[in-house]
Amino acid sequence: MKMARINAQEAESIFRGLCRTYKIIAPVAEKGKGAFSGADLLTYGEVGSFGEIEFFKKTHFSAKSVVSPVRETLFEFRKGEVREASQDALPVIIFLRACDINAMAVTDAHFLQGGREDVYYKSHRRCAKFFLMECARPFENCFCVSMGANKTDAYSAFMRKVDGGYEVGVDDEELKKYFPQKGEFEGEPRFAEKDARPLAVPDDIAASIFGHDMWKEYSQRCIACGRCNTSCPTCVCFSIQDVACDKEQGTWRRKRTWSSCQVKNFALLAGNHDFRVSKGDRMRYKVLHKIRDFKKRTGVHMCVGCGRCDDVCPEYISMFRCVEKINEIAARGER
Amino acid sequence: MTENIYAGRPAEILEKRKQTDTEWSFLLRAEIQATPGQFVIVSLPAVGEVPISISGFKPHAVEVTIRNIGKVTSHICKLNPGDALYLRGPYGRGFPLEAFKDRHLLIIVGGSAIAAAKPLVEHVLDSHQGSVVRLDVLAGFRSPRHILFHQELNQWKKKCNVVLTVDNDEDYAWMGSTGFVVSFIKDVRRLGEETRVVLIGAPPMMTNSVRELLRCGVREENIYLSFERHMKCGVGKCGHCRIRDKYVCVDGPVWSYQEAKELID
Repeated sequence: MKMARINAQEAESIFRGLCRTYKIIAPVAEKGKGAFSGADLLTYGEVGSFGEIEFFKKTHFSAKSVVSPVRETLFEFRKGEVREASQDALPVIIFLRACDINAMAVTDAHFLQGGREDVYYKSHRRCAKFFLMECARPFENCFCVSMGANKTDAYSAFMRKVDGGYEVGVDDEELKKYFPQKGEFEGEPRFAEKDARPLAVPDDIAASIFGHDMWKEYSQRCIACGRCNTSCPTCVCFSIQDVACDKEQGTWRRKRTWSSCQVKNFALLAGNHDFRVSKGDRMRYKVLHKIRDFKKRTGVHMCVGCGRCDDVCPEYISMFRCVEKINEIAARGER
Repeated sequence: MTENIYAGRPAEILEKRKQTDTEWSFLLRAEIQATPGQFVIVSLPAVGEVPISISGFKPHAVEVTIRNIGKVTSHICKLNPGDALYLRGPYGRGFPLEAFKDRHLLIIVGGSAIAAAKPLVEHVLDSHQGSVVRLDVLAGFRSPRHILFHQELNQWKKKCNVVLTVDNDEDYAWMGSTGFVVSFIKDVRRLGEETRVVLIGAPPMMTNSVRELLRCGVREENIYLSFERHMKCGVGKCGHCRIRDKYVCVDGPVWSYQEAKELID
């Protein structure tokens, strides 16, 4: 693609032009807010300049809250009247790596296909443009190549941080006017070509794995905190609740919030019937969804190999290692 | 403008009928095209939503039967004719009516699951299109005071074979059968390879009944189960009712045993 080299000053001037129309969401390092003393929290946030963007570290959280908010109003009830919540989302630019852009394709398949379109997701998604951030090398715990999520062409622009400035290529006609036409050269984003450790994703998984002892380990280790689900770019399960806004005025909202299959009561039925009570069962439910069930339904793997679940687990449980164990059991012919 | 899959339509309560101390049937004004085995989400603004099987069809109305068991259902059970709630649906895949035509059909229900099977019984008994060669209904309840649809059961007895049993007859002067519904399966006449079975109830009841039916020669592909799971959206998005690669609200709740045995949870 045609690319331009811009210095830091030019970049910030371009930024000021963009942010008149777009909210810009990108990886940021929140100083000192990490899990450990002195560590930064690597997350997604709204930035006030390109200089604030963290280009070289992997975030713990994905950008999924832009298209699938943690909490979102679906309907408002006021004095017996029901009103659909407004679906006007603001235009937004999100800086994403290839795995996360592929994760957006996964959530698109979930929310927009099957003949039932989620209007709320659509309104957020429609307003989002992606700026690709390249991965010259995989990070620790990444296995995007094994999941087929290391490459993408579904982006509006590509930006690379270099000494003294940035190199940028813009595909989107609407965005071209914000960027200079000078100094153009041919360039392409670099994608990860090889995982640090490759993962063999099984084509199908025998039902006999359900009763295997391997899941007992997770029953012992997992504390059901749900961090794996919150940091995963393709976990989008939710619950719906009616909450009071102003009981005197009689205003209520029907809201949806993120829900985690690893946390207690995800499957609890009225009358106290429950499913997947053991954490090992919940781990099996999640892992098989990511590497088998979703693909069976849509043709695409749900897991994009970003490795965030492995990064953030407080008990150091590794989904990567879990899939390796499934493969080892299948290879040994165990039931 | 795209239709909002989470939006309900107002449905006025036309009739309210008490079934037991904790269950009521509500007839709701609604233009819903549904088939036996499908369900609706009953929605009460400022309270919440619940998925409920459709327990009956009438012109321009549907019947739902609700047990007072949680926050939303306790609010619904306090409503009366003239009050309004909201419905969305119908959802789910209902019973395969064509598969039952001109066959021996056995319907086995445990407890309030009879509500989900009632439209199927009525379809078979009341319509020419639904005719079967023979219909047997096996209905089990915890005790006489847990029995739903007394009137309908008595009507059905006039048109087909009905075995009504209770697990425990308590102090009532109960003249009917006693025992778990599973123990009556082997006594169903002409039960075998050609029988189609519809089976709805609590998971342990369904597991034991399937075992017994297979033992009696019924084929796996001819046993149809209706699943129940926690649901929030009813449209295959929230994830709560997913089992492996299937959503109970979209791909179910009805599955043949051949399909259902792969749905391990």
